[in-house]
Amino acid sequence: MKRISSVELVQVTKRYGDVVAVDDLSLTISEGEFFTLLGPSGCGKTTTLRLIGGLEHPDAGDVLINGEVVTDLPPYERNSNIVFQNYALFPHLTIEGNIAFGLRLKSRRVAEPEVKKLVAEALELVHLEGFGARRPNQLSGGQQQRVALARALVLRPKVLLLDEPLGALDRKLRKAMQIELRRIQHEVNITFIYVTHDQDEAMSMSDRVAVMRNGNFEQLGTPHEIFQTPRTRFVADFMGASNIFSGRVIAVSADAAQRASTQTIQIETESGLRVISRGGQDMSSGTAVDFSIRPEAVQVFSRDWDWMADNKFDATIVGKLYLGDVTELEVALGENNSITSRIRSSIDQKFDFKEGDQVSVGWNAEDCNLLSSGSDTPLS
Amino acid sequence: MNRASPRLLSIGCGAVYLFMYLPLLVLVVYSFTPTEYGVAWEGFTLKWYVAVFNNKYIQDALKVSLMIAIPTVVISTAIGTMTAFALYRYKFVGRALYQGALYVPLVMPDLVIGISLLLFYTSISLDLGILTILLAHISFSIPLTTLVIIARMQRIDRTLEDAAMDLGADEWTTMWKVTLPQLMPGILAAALLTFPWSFNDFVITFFVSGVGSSTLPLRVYSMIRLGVSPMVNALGTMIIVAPLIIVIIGVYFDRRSVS
Repeated sequence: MKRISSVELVQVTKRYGDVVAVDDLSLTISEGEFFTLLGPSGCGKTTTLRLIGGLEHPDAGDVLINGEVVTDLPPYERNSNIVFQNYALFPHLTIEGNIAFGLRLKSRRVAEPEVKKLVAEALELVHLEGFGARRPNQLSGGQQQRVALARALVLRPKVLLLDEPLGALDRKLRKAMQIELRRIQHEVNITFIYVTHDQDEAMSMSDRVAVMRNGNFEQLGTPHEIFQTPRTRFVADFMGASNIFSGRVIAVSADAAQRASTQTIQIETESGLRVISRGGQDMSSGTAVDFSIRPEAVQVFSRDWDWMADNKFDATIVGKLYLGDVTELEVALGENNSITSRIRSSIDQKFDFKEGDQVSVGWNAEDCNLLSSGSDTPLS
Repeated sequence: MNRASPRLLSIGCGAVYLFMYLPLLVLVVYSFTPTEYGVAWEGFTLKWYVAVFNNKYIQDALKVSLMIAIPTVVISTAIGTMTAFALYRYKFVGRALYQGALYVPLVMPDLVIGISLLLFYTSISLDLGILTILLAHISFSIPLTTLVIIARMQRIDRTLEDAAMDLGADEWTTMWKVTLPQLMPGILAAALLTFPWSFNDFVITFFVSGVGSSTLPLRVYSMIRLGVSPMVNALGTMIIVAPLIIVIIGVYFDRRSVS
């Protein structure tokens, strides 16, 4: 993969009055990358997108597209295009007129036969052949979304900025459009910067994901990294790892068989649970740690079942939620602790778990994901 | 449920419409009968219509009315559009005051506006005539056009302009290709409301008109001082029917453009 920077943010800050929407943000996105800004509403992800597109001007810092500083250029002089959350199709123009809008501007000097050809190609790309003469209000939400995409792509931007483009679509259509967007991105091979609050969307499409909070990145990495090894409590919680504990290292084992970079540690949580985990060499007895365990990693079996796990406890089922292919079990460990487990529904059926059942619950040391504590404030 | 209520409702509705349109109907009917005085039907005639077309005073008055109404529509709609932009799009010191001040002429009695304009014109020694009427009409039409256009503006999606700029249109092109086309229904509505607003005005015009600058309402008023001539009925009928025809044509073209 080529490593040319397509979009670069250098210590960008944007304030609205007293509110800092984007806080000293730096970022480099490579050419052809599918990059996602993921975060809850108000985290600054849309503002970041608008700063790249030129619809907002930063209070400090620089924006670069293709290595050129574009900080002071208006949106119409930037080689980027946006697909807006509400599509922003021009209601007074036909679909053809919408897609051709940018091409027909005098500043672009595209001859009319060429415009016709490019619009036809764009309609084909988004599978809307034959819709050119219609008006936006005669199209479904999904079709309007694809028109917005075609309108932006027909200008062959270096960067396509997508602001929650699938937010208004129903679940099934959203899945189909995720695949569609990926296909189109491969076909046109331009950088996509995608804003969403939906972790599934971010996971399924992106090359890299940045989880945003309070105008800055909480964690940046591949979808797999973010999902499996969230670094902070916020990311762990946002990615749905609902089992988050705080504790202290009480023992470090000098196990020679372990790889040099990690060691086996024992942690006691604030609520008195003792857990075996893997930790860095810098950890010693007394170090404060937070850790998360993904619900899928937590196994639940009946008490008489013979099985092994690094961490295994006697427990009681206190809640059960059927979610289709998986079932979520809320399990109490002693009096002060509870943990969420997500097991395949077929396993649940086999054991026929019910609330109040005495079970055993467990997970392996590797499944304890250590979070950086201290700097991170607990979520309200 | 009270089963009589649908019937009561239709009787009520009928009464309201009768009350609104019966007087107009009476006027239309009497415009076609030769009776000069009183209110009796004595056969069908078009002679009052012929008389209207041959009456130089009415023609002159109509000319004056149009000479005032048309520029009033154009100028007050243009100023209203700009005012709407300023008030809706920009934040500046005293904006609330300006916007509030815009509503005042709409609720102020015409009599007060008329007298104050007359005093004002006299104090700056402006001769009363078409110009003074025109200025008066423009000034009382601007609040109307501004409010109608602001109402439309509030319904326009601002991201359309973001989208236009993002696609490569500069501010000027965005204004012409996106903002104004979006605003057009509001601008047209403002113009359509302003025309009768100006054309029909009597009270204010009465104060600020001079010799030889009688508008149609002023002329009609001076005609009926000598008794209601059926010519006035004929003129009234034409004034009712002409806009109806325009509306019907407008609706026809509107329907056609949709299908």
